[in-house]
Amino acid sequence: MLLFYLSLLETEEAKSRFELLYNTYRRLMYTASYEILKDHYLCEDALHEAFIRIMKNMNGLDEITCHKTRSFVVIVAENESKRLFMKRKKNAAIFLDDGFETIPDFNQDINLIIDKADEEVIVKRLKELSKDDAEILTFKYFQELKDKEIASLLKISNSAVRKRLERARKKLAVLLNSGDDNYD
Amino acid sequence: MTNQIIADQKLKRALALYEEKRIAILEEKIDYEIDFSENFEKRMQKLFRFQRKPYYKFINTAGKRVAMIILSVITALSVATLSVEALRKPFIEIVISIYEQFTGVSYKNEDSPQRFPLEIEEVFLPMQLPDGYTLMESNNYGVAIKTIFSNGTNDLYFEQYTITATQITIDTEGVEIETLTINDHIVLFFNNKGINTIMWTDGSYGYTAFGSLDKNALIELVNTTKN
Repeated sequence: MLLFYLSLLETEEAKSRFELLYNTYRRLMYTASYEILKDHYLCEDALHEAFIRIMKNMNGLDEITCHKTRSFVVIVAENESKRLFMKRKKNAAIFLDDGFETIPDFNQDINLIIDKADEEVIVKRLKELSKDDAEILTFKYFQELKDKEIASLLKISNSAVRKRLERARKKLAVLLNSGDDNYD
Repeated sequence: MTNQIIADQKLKRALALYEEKRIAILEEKIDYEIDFSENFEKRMQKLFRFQRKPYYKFINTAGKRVAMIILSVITALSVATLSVEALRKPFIEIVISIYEQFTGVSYKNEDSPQRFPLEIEEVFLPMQLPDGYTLMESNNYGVAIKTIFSNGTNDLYFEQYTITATQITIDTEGVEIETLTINDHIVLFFNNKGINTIMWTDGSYGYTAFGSLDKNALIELVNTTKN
């Protein structure tokens, strides 16, 4: 474990930024984690894992106190909490309904639909997406991470990232297309 | 600008707004009196201390390789041990409880639950896919692995999960469940809202596959699922 930690950070600047980031966001990250795990000690475990993951990506982060960084650390904390939650859960009952929803056939131009929609409407529809879908869209379009970086954060393959993104965009487009908000 | 770039920019702005609102709600919930445990503080301090060491680059190369070799040996030994354990397949009974609007499926075993893997230790997948289907996505959640295959038009969902679950609930309002026996496995098949589903257990794990494939194609998945 020691070897692993040691290999993570590369510059002195990154090291001090990491400590600043920890002090700035640990309470927010804890709160995000608690929403999922509802257990103090599990949250601490999730946070520890989250900070290790963030250390790996420190060099790609903007200013510590900016909105983009705040969003990034929260999503990483949520992701580690979900992973821990799934790992500990002994009851597989929810799996059949969890994240396996089918998407209706949709052959329209997704870019055009997003382009035509009002930003506030898109925000409204994003709230209706599953957390996993919103998370991957945030990583890709707001955090502007490469597929490879998203794959590393989510511990999935590059092709899985592309597939998830495609599905999330399609679901968003279906939601945008189904509502009448655009004509308000 | 092309449609793609315009849409991506718009999505970026919308996601920024979405995240701002979402995190603002979280920030309102922050308890500034959170008392992090001594153990957690120690672990974090350890992280900070490790960062400050100057010799991580050496460790990052040769040391890592040595660690990987040791890890590979340990993993190989664990797999050998698990394989021997897997020979002792316990008897499992599938219990179906039909309620008014849903059906509960339980895996009941005569032996102690401790004998079943509590996490996925061996991955099982269909070795032969229906024509045109390829692997799209697979996610390991520790107690379950969800895999999606697709032929470009239709998706096929395949799931392997631990059978420590007390009950799996399926929305089966107005649905008839068919019980089959395939290769000594009790297999459940049903169609719900146009989606065909097949469920079975091999004595160690439970499996569910569903999609638009017909019954015979789903049964073929039972026959070809191996690790």
